Amino acid sequence: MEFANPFALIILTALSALVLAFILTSTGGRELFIRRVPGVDAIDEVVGRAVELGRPILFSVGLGGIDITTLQAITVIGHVAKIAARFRNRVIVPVVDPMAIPVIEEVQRESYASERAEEAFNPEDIRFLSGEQFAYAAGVVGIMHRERVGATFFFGNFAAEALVMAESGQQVGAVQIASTPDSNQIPFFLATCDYVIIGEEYYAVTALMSRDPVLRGSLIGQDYVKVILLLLIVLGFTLTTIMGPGHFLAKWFAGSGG
Amino acid sequence: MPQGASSTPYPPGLLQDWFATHVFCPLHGVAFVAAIIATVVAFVAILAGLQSLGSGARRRLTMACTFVAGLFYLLAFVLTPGNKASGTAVIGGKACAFRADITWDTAPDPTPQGPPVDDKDKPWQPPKPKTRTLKGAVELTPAEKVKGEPQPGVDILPIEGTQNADGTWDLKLAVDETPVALTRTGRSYALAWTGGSGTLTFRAGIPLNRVKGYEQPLGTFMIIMGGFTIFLGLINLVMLHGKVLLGARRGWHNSLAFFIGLVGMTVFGLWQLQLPALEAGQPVPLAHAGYKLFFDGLLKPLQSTTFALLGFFIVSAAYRAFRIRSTEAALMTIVAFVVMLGQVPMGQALTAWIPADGPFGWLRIETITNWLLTTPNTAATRGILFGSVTGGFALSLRVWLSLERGSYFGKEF
Repeated sequence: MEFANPFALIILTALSALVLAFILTSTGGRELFIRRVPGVDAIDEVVGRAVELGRPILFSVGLGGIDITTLQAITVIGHVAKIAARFRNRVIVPVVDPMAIPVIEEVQRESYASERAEEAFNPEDIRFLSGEQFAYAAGVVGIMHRERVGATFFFGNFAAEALVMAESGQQVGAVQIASTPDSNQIPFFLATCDYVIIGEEYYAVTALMSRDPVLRGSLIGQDYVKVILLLLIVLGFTLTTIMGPGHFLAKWFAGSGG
Repeated sequence: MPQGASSTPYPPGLLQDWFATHVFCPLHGVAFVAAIIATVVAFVAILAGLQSLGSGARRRLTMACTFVAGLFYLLAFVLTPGNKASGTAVIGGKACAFRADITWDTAPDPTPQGPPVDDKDKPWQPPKPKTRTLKGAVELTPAEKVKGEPQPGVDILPIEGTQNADGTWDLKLAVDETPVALTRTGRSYALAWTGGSGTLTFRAGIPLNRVKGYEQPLGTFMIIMGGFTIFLGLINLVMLHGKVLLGARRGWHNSLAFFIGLVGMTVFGLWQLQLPALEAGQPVPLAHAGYKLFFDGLLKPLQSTTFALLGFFIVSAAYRAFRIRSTEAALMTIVAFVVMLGQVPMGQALTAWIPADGPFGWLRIETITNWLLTTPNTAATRGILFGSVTGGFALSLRVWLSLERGSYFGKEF
């Protein structure tokens, strides 16, 4: 859809308002319940495991450039680096997109500084390997074997290189957490990683890691968004079954913008 | 092609023609050098300005830029481009309705066209003003239709039009191939032709969307900016491998291979670009041979080798995944076994004796495989996708409004 039709405009406004309303509710002090996700709970434990082994941590943000998915991964890097900094451990971040280097470097530097461990931070741990998919994968596998990493995190957009990297992590005995919104790579991560955070849980990681009311409110809001969209789907197929494909809801949805 | 000269379905952007004429136009001589110097000076000034700001002010600036950029794309999506026209008509006593599409076109050049010229040889011309043209069909409303399909030219009448500078429209319509004379009064037109008369009223969409036209130039700007970041990556690599090589640290030979690859690919890559295309039978120049060695002889086989590793890794991963340790693992193993059987001729041969169109046709292994892939598998995949999209929506909203947490966003957990 190139332009919003009136129905899309209404839905977009209503759903945005819903998310913002829950953020306001949550910041107003109301306690909202969120179920735990084992993969998120395990993040601290996995970092601790690498510390016990005396090995560095590898964090791959996948093939994405600076987009929403990678920004979420960068936020998690900040959290992982903070725990690693507490124990003077290293977090190696190989990247595909050079644009991510200064952003990740800044985030890591602040995380180490917040734990008063500036001396443990090495800017060379944020490494541009290649813009090519399999050259990147080969580089990550090389780092895993040379550095004998104790824990690996795969957060971001991945493609066929996901299995090459995750299986290599298994071979070096690293504890692995993977998280991706891409449903095609989830089976490979499930087969090779100790914890997998799938689908929308990827976007819930920051809310689960903290008790920040904004993030929690947003998470509850997005659940209600999903409920509304599901109700629309149910209404849509019920009307199509009863009235045929030309009913009013189908027309609203199909109407072109402009 | 200069901005604004192409035909797009969008109204011209705010000041887009001015930018196309004064900014995005070719420069030569002193103006060209001055523009480069001005760009570098502006770039350095912006960098210096950003550096002089405190981290708090820099973050506020980032937040403002994020908001403006998000607002731009939101407006480009939600504002109407006014590309639709609709109306009603009474033609020969019968009620009609019509919808028409409006496009924005550069007026055709009245001078005769010469032979086609390659784009790069064309002298640059400032953009020409665009006009709105309308094209659609007037059709009998359902109540007026008699039995049978509507007849083009009789029941469906093509309508065309061009908007004048004063906002009025010149319309063209023909009934039974007889041109109709239109007399405008406000938004209504009186129709008259040999053998009949009628009226027509229509409303053309108001072109509110003046920002859509900038999506493409901004995309180009982003690509160019992104291209510059390759130097960031290059500096990162050179520093990392340079230290290893100069310090003769462990693995120095890998760093040497990196420098050989970097220099070789750059030199031969740029060199071969300067040479004319190779022709059959000619001796291959060193530049092409070197480029071929690095690209086809090294990079491609190395990438294929890494890709080929997947085959082995899939086996070891599948072995781990399909070990029966729980009810879920057993179920997954059985399903995987059935799906794999259904994909190979040998597996399909096992149930080939069951008639495909008989009552037990659904028991054929390829039918079961197909059902597993298209029904439960698709349902689960769509469920995950649905959740991802709503999660992405909420995160985008938080980033746009600078509500996101994390050190990058300036708010700690």
